[in-house]
Amino acid sequence: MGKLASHAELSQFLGSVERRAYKHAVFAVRNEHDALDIVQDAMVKLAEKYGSKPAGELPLLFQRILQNTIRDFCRRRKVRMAWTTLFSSLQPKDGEEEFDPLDVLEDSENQSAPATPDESLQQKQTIALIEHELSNLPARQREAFLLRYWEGLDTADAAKAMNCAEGSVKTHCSRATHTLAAALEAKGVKL
Amino acid sequence: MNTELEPIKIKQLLDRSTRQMSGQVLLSLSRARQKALERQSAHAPAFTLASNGAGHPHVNDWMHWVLPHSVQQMIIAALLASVVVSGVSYWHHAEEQRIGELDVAILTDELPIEVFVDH
Repeated sequence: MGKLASHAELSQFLGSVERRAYKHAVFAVRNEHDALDIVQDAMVKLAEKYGSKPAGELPLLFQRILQNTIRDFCRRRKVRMAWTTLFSSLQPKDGEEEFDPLDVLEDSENQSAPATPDESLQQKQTIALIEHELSNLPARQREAFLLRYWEGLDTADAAKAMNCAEGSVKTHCSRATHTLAAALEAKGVKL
Repeated sequence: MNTELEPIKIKQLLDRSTRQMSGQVLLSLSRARQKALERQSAHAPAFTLASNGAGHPHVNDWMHWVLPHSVQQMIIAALLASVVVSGVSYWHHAEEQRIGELDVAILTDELPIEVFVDH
């Protein structure tokens, strides 16, 4: 059994993971306020129930809690949506448009466009496009991709966090990678 | 189709995006972290035994059930203990009194009939 996490270690761990956790939630629920609520719930659950676990166990525990919290939120929202769809369909649409990364993506072949954008702007556009495509991935593919390649979990730990078989993680990752590659290529982005 | 996407490059870009978050989001995340840390303090055990992790890791598990965790629990435990002690001393006193009366009855040869009856 490892050394139990102290208050400072838990604080340091949460500080190191909170931004990525927030992004995970934003990709999944596409709403900043809901994402903040999800991250806070996950942090509180970790601190309350597993705050005294060894520091080495915290990353996997937190990812598991975070993914479960996101899934619970999506389930609750689905139920809410089922009840409100009927009423909202009776109301006129407010004309709100979804964010389309193509709106901000510069076309380098278009001569009417401004000169070559600076690197910083180009990076921001690429990041916006990647984040948009990640949001569009099926939930399980996105989870597997982010846990494996962003959080750096191995296949076994990712499977534990996702509560599925290791083979499923590999399949989800492979599909996510192909989908992302195809989407980026279609938008003319090369990494 | 380009399927040679390098996840490491995606990771680098995503890492960069986390460094470009707005101050409002960072403040909210910091508040969430503080709230979580307060909860950890609230749920931490009041005291830990010196034998923590010294060959008997399960000792603490049940000892925490036995040992009181707060002042209120200590007061309740003390009250319960005093009730038990006074109950035992009352029973002991009554038993002594009964035996004394029986001794007197034996000496004065005035034993009640119940003494000779088999129960």
